Amino acid sequence: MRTTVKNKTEYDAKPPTHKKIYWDGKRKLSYAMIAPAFIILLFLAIGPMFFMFVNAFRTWNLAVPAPPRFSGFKNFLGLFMDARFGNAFLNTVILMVAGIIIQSILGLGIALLLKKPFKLRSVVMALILIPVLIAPVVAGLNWKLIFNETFGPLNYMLGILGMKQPLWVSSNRFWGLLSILIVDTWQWTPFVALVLLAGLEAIPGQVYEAADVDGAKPFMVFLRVTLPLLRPMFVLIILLRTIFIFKIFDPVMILTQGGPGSATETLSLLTYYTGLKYMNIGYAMAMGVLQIIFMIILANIFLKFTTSSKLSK
Amino acid sequence: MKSDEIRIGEKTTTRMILKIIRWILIILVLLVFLFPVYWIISGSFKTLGEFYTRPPTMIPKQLMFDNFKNALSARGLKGLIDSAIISVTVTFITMIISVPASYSIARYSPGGQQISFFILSILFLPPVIGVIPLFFIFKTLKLLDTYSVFFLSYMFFNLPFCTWIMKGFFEDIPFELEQAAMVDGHSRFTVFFKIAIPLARAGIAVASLFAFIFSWNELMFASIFARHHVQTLPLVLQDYIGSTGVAWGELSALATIAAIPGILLAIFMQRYIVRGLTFGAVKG
Repeated sequence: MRTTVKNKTEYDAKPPTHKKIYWDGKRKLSYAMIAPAFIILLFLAIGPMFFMFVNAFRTWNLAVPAPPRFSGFKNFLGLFMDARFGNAFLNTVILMVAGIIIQSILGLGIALLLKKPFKLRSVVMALILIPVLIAPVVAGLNWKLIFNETFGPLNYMLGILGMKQPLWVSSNRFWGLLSILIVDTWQWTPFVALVLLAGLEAIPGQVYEAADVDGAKPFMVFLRVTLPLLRPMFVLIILLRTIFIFKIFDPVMILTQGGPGSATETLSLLTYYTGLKYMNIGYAMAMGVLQIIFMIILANIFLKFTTSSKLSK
Repeated sequence: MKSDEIRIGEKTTTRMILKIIRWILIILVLLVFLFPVYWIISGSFKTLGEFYTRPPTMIPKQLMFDNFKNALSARGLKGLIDSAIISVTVTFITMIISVPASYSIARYSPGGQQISFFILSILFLPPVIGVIPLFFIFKTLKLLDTYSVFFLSYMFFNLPFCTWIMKGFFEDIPFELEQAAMVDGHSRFTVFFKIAIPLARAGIAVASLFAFIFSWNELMFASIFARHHVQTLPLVLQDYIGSTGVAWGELSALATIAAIPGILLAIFMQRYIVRGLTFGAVKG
C-alpha cells in the first residue's frame, strides 16, 4: 500500500524538470484544460464568498421591511453574545470530540479484528462499508424507526436487559445529541476502521519480528510499537472527521430538527435556519465567515499534513 | 516429552478459542452495522399494523410489494425519475469538466499550489455557507426549481472532489510513458486520450461513481433549490417524515429504493472507498 508522499519542494521551490520538459511551451494548453472547472468553481464559490463577506457587515433582515445597511462588526459582536449560537457551537464541538474518540476506539477494534486475513474478509469489509455510502436521509430514517420509544427495537432490547428506556430523539439535549452521535458513529466507524486497517497493514512485518526477538509481550508490542506507528493515520482521521462533523447537517435535520427548541442545533443547522427561515441574512453570513475561517485553517493543516508527512510506506 | 505434547495441545485449544471469539466479534460487528439496513428493507414489506407491535416485528409475515407500488404511485416515482436524471447528468457534466482539469493539474499544476488549495478548500467548506448566497444568486437568475440549478449547484462539491481524486490517479501514471509517445510524434491530445485516459480509467470510474452517489444522496441543496417542478428522492423522503400519520411501509419502501445505489457501490467499489473519502491520502 502506498500513500501520497509528495515532497513539499515539488510545489514551491522548483518544479521538477520532467514536468517542464513535458509541457515546454505548452502552458496555454494546461490553462485551457483547467479553465472550465476554474470558472465554474469561481462562480459557485467566489461569488457566494463575496456575497457573504459583504453581507456579514450589513444588517439585512428580510423579515423586517428595511433596506440592508452597513453596520460594521455589529453582527459579529452579536454572535459572541448570542446564547443560541454558543449552544450550537458547543453542540458541534461535543459531537466532534465525542465522535472522534468513540469512532477511533471502535474503528481500531474493528481494524485489529480484520487484520489477519481470512477467507471472507473482503466480503465482511464490503458489508460494513454499506453505512458509509447509504444516503444520510435513509440512515436518519432507519434510526428514527429504531429509536422509536414504544415500537422501536432498541428500546425493546433495553427493556429485555432491564435498562431505562429513554425517549431518544424527542426527549432532551442529552438524548438528542446522543442519537445524532449514534447515527454518525454508525455511518462513519467502518470508514475509520478501514483507514486504520490500511495503516496496520502498512507496518512492516520485521518490526513485529524484532519486537518478538526482544521478547516483548503482545500487549506491550501493541502499546509501544503498533500505536505509535499508527499515529499518522489517527491524525488523518482526526482531520477528516473534524471537517465532516463540523458541517454535520442531514442527520440532525432528520432526527431532531435541532429540537427540542434549539437544544440540539449544530452550526450548519443554525446558519441554515437563520438565513433561510428567519431570513436574517446579515447575521447568517457573519456565522458563515467564522466557519470559513475555521475551515481554511483546517484545509491548510490537511494539505501540509498530506504533502509533508510520511503517512506510512 | 509428555509435557511438551500437553503444551502443544493447550496451544491449539487456545488458538481455537481465540478463533471462535474473533468470529463471534466479527459477527457482532456485522450485526450492528447491518441491522439498521435490514430494518428499513424489512420495513418495506410490513403492513402498517406490523410497525405498531411490541415486541417489534422482526420478520414481516408475507412478502408483499404493495408498499413499493404505493410509494411509486405518488410522488415517489417523480422523485426517483428526477433523482436519476439529475445524478446521471451531473455525473456526466462533472466528468467532462474535471477529467481535463485534473490531468492538467497532475501534469503541470498551472497556478501552482494555490489552485490545489483552492479546490481542496471548497471541498472542506460547510455547504450551508455556499447555499444561502447561491439561493439569492439563483433567485436573481430565475433558476430556482429547475433542473439546471441542480446540474450547476451539485458541481459545488462534485467538481472539486472528482478533480482532486483523479489528479492522484493521473499522477500515478509514469510520465515517461506519455513522453515516449510524444517523441514518437503523437500530439498532446492523442496522448491524453489514447494513453492517459485509458491508464487512469479506474480513477475516472471511481470519481464518476462518487459523483453519482453524492448527487443521489444530497439533501440540503435540494431542500433549498427545489419547489414543485423538481423533486429528488431525499426530498420526498424528508417530506414523508414531516407529514402527520406517516405511512411507514411506503416510506421504508422508498428509502430502500434510495439506498440501493449506496449498497451496490459499497460492495463493488470497496477498494476505492477509503482512497476516495480520505481525498487520496490513503491509497488502498
